[in-house]
Amino acid sequence: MSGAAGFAPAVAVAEGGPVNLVRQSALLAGRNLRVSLGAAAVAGMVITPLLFFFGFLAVFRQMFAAHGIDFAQYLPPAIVVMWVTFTAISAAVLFARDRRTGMLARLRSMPVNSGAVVAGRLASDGVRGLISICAVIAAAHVTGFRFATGVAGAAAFVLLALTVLLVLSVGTGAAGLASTEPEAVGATLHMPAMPLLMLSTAFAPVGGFPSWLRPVVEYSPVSAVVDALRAVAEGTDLAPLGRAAAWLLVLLVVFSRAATRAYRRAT
Amino acid sequence: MTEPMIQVEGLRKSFGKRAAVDGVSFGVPAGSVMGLLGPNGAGKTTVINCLTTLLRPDAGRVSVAGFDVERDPAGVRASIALTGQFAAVDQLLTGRQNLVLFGRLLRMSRRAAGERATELLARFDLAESGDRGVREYSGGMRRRLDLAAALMVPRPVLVLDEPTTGLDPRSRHAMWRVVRELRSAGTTVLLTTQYLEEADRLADGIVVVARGKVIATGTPEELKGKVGVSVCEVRIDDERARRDALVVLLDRWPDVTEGDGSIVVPGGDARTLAEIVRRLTEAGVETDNVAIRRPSLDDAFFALTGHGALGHHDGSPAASNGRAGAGAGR
Repeated sequence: MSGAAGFAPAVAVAEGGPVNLVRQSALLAGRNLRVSLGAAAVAGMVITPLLFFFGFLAVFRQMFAAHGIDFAQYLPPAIVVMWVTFTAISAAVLFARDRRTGMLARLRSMPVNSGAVVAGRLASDGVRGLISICAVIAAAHVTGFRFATGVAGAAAFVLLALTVLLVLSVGTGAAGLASTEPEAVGATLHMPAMPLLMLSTAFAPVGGFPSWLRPVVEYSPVSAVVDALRAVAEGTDLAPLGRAAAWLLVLLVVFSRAATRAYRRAT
Repeated sequence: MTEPMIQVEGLRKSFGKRAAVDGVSFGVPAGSVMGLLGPNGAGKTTVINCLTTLLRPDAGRVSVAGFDVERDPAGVRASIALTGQFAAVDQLLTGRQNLVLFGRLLRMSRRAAGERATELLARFDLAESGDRGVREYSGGMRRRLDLAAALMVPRPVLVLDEPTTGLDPRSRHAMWRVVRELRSAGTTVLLTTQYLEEADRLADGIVVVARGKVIATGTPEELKGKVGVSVCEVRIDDERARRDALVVLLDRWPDVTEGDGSIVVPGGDARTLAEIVRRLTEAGVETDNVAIRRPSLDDAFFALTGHGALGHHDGSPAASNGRAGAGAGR
């Protein structure tokens, strides 16, 4: 009708569909990784969690031994959950940056599957998280950390840790999409993250907390997740897995709603 | 012809209680350049966001290339190319990598995207820097790359949100040249700008918006016509000389006004001009320039709104060019 010769035909192009979703998610995940995987970033993803691991281990190993706890076995799940949290927070920062630079608006104005923008983000977070998780497990192995459950247990451990990361990323992603201030959103999310990590069984057993704090620690979602990771590594009592799954499901539902809303509004 | 390529009717969009766009209507004929002109916060970007399916309108109808933004947003997205206020390209990737990524997201094969990238890099004067990281690019180069990214797959409609904000004059002219080329190739262009000169030079039609409403529409000539007749402008930089001139000229034309470094005499014809020159020469006042000036869009905006012009008076090339460069030829 417009006689626009040479232009791509302006007929409705299906931008949905699984083929587009997979292809465009992969392209965007690749882009996210190229943007966030500079040499310094990779070093940060591997070295920083290891610094935390060896630091905590050096300071507290003797003390925990006195209470009959092998800290080399106790600590790795905590470091993994902490690092997975930090990785999710960096996802928020990267999303906010994409919004600020206009990249998000550009992608949303293109015939690109809307699921691909989010899936691409999650996939690249997953890869970044996987690198850190494997680095922590490898270092922990050197210091005596073992999976009583063998390879299957190790795989389940990594899978659970990645699930935690992705659920958290949906939530932090929502925060990132709602913000145009990458630095501010990072700082804001770090604030609740530290106390949540500390007031849990991540770094000390429930018995180590004053009695009035124990309910908080016992019912913390962080405890649920860390306990589940320990259960998978030890293979003894798998009850914590149910609690963790329930928490993750609830969080996923809440976070998805927030993320969908934020995505629609992000310009 | 048939229906305009872009049709906006009674568009409304509020954020909380604030109406960012409050009943805007306009149409853009196929193959023309429409300038959406207004100060910061006038609602230009909100109009663009509704038009590019980034925001859902609260009320009104918006269609692009025959697709309704609410009923068929995918059709709209397949018909437009958008470049925003910022250069939305990745700093850590090379120019070529950026272009190839966008091409492949639009379902081009790796090879086709590579070939198209080479072609666009050459066309936008980026051939030599195509394989360098974008972080090494100047602001103008980034904007050109941003526009190239939008053009990886040619679309009938190009939307440019403040394409030259913050660019140096040379880069601005390069952008203008590209927009003109696209127009002659048949692309319909909608561009927002706060620069009067930009709208004046590029657009076939202008929609002036302020506070979410359209306050005027027309061709650049029509808008300038609304301010009335031409004037003579006497430019004198020296303040004392200007005051002397003002006394001389007030004696003959009681309604002269003093502008920014200049004196404006109503009546833009050759006889007035000659008389001004004669009187000032007789009085021994030296002038920097005397010229007939058609009213600029800046004047038009002032006349339309009755209050201050388009913001950014200070550093804006539009404002200064509109005044200083407004010779008799316009």
